[in-house]
Amino acid sequence: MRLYADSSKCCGCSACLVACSLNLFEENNPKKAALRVVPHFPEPGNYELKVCTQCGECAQVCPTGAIQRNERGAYFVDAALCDLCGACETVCPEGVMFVVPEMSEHSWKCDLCGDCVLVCGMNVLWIAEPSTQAA
Amino acid sequence: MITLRPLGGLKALVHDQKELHLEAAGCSVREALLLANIRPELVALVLVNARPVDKAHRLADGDIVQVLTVFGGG
Amino acid sequence: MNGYGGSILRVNLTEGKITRLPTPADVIRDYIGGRGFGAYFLYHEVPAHADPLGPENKLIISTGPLSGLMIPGAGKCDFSTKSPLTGGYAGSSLGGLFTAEMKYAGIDSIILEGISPKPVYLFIDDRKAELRDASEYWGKGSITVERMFKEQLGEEFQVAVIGPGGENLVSYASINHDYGREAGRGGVGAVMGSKRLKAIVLHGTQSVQVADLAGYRQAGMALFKACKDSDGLKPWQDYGTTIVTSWCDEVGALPTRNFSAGSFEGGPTLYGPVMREQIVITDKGCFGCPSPCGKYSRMKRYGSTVEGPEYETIGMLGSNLGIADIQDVAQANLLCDELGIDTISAGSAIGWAMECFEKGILTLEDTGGLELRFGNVPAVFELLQAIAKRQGLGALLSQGVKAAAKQVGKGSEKFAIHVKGMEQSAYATHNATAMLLAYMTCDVGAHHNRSWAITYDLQVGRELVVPEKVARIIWLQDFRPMFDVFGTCRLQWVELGIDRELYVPALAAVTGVQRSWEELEMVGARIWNLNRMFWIRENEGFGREWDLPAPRFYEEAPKTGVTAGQITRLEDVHKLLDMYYEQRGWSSNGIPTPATLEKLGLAELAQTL
Repeated sequence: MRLYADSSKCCGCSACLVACSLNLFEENNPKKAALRVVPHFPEPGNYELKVCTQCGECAQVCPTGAIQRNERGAYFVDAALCDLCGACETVCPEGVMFVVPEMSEHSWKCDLCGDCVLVCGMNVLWIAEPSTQAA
Repeated sequence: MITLRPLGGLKALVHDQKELHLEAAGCSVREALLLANIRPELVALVLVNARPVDKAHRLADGDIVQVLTVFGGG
Repeated sequence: MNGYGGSILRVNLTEGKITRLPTPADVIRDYIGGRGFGAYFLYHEVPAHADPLGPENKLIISTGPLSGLMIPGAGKCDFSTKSPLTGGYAGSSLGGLFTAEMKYAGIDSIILEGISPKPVYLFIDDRKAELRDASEYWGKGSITVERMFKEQLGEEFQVAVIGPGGENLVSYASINHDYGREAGRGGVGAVMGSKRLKAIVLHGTQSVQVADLAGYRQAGMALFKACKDSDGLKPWQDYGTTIVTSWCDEVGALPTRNFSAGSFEGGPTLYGPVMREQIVITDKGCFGCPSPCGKYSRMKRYGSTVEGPEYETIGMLGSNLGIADIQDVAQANLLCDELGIDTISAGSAIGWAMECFEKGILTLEDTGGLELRFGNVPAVFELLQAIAKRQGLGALLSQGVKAAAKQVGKGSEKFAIHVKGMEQSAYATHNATAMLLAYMTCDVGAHHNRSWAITYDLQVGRELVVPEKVARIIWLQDFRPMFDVFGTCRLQWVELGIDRELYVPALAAVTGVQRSWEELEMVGARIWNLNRMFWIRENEGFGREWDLPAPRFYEEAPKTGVTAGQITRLEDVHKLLDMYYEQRGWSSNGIPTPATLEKLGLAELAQTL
């Protein structure tokens, strides 16, 4: 399973970011979310959503084995094992692997909790099996 | 037969019914609303088969008509 | 301080001094946040009879306890000040992402005071706050400057900026944000300009604490679910506020040619579905919004883009000026945004000037050669520039219609469409008495945001003057603006029809204080009366006369459209006020009685009467 996004429907409201930070950190803080809303204004006038595709490249390069798979099939960060080396952030093709020492003692990423989907009014986001869903 | 679906606050005007079936093929939207005891001027938006139309639009058999009011305003 | 940023950032522009102090607990208790904070600080900190554009006036920018949280529409920011347009209270609401960013920088209110010796901007990055030189930005348009800041600082910074209109002290200058969101009404941009503050740029990374995390997440999710389950969601997402354009035209509420009528023969080319099909390219929402009314549009003929136009702008810069092309309206909207002026007041001022011209009150000499007839699009574009620069006829119109009509005279006061000096927003009220009362008694002047009742008028009987209508308006005035106190948008309740009771557990879980809607409406009434007392304090002789609508609505029935021949009698206007004052607990001259003030916890104000 992975998260999908149809950027053309995104209205930039960022509700997904707060829902995400509440799940990952139990905190209200859009800067601690594992997806990104990139605005392109005033031209061409649209939003671009960056979400984790669960490609697993972060896990492959993690020297401490901190990035593992959970019961939903998502790669997640084991906080106790992460030493903030930043290798994962460098290889993430979507720019949604976050290593920000001043904000968190461990790196963070999408663990496929699905809360972003629940708060998105525009149905931009959904979770599906890659085999059944052409991106 | 057409299907009339009052959205949001309009349901209160038709005893909270989500859907009404009316013999209104060939009628205008305005006439269909009157058949349902909904005053046409209270309806702000009319969608027939999900496309916006005005209240003079003639209905065809099988049409699904959604009507929306604006109770709160801007 | 659960639910709050926790501090008040005070910026003295005269001395260049910035302080940060904890948000006072008693103000949180009595006024909760947002517009409540604005009203409180304005009344208690700005000395009586301060010049709106002088150093003593303050501009108070406030988030609310729900701002920036996982609550639908939690993106509303309040801008309160003494209005240069009306001389009374101004409270203008800004959407977008600004209020959330303020919250995450730990700020509940920014209080701007004094006047800077030179143009500056306020830079805030979490705990850091400083005034920086703005000479590079001064004189430039608001969209241009926002782009410059984003390129220099990054997309994560949020920007509130004035355009030339604010710099040049246009009485209805706006403060702009997110390429098309504005604190538009009452001239808040002119107050910012008078302080020589070009912009506020901010960035916040701090988490916001709440009292009961699990309860809040549950209540927040319940609110989002209610919005998503609403069967009105899809039409609202598709058309936003422009849902009402065709309907207003149909029921005679669409302002047409300076409100001389309520239906426009060119209306159909301005309707929501036409706009959606012809120009809308992206839906654009404020923070946390599941039902974005913001529509981002591309005008192919002009090779430009704009956020909007919203219904109000379509009414005021479209039908009100006799303009029937959505691209022309959208382009006029873009000009207003870049120049930093309010589309509603600008549309009203130009509509008034066009009527003056057609009646021979203003001549080609006065207009600088402009054929200022209804429908003349190039003339509108030219005038908008002239207003922002306060040149020629633009200088006259930049003061608003009340002052302009007073200066020009010759009967033009009769068709200057305002209450208390604020131009009426885009609902024609020749025959809609509840809505007329809403405009007459709104605490900023003739604006629709506090209460709105056109559908209610139609339901009850539009010409009826009955106590139920008055009670409805008062209820709405006490309740609807509470969303501006929470720092959220009211449209999820207003248009999606979600149960307002869903907000009660959300507010309780966030702040740790349980308040029923009955208690919240009491806070609403407190703020309403406090603002009334501000008007009374600031304007000698304030009373019933100030609540009268434009004479057009009781003297001059429309000649065309569905409301042709329909008008509210002056006698009924006074009857509405009699009932309103009685129900409010005010004197027959519209002054709150000491008993009313005491009941609302405003006993200390009774002594000022």
